[in-house]
Amino acid sequence: MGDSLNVILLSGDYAKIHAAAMVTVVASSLAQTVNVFVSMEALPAFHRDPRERDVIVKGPVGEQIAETASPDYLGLFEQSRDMGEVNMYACSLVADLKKWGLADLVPIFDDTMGITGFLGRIGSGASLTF
Amino acid sequence: MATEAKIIDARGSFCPGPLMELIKGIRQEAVGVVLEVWSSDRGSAKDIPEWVARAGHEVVGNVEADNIFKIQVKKLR
Repeated sequence: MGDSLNVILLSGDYAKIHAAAMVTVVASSLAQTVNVFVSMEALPAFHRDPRERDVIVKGPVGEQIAETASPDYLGLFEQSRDMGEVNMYACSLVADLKKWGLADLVPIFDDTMGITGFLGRIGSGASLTF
Repeated sequence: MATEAKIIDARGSFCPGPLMELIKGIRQEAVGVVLEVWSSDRGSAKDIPEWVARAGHEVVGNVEADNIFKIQVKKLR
């Protein structure tokens, strides 16, 4: 496939994060490069400590997905990186506010970065915001 | 439907689980092998052929019986 896909993940809603992971893993499996920027309320969903991840909101569908989906969104992002070129960046603003470094997050990020850096790296492909 | 196929039993798995199991299988098998995914997820019967076409492989069979979808995919590359 041609252009890269850019995924901007802002929501702290479990179902949206899971949807972003599904889009990423399928695009990656089709050899599409995916650039993922995780910011705002979504970043706590990627903390190493499950207690920090618990702040993520689950609606009725999110609850069912969390109970039944295997792998979960973290597993899907991991699989996507195994399958192809998936570049994942944690927002430096939120990381600074929370006083988190890469070591505090699950080990699937390439770097922390500001939105300007992310926009400078992404290609001309479609961008999806969750 | 091809008679010789490697079965991937993904019954009970929700979207995109059956597709993920197929992708895992395709990556492990040689070109020419036929894989047969068993799925109870209705969406997989449409999602898997779409992925197979885009990925450059071939659907050689797609049947439903008792709410189980059996989709045969031949690895072409």
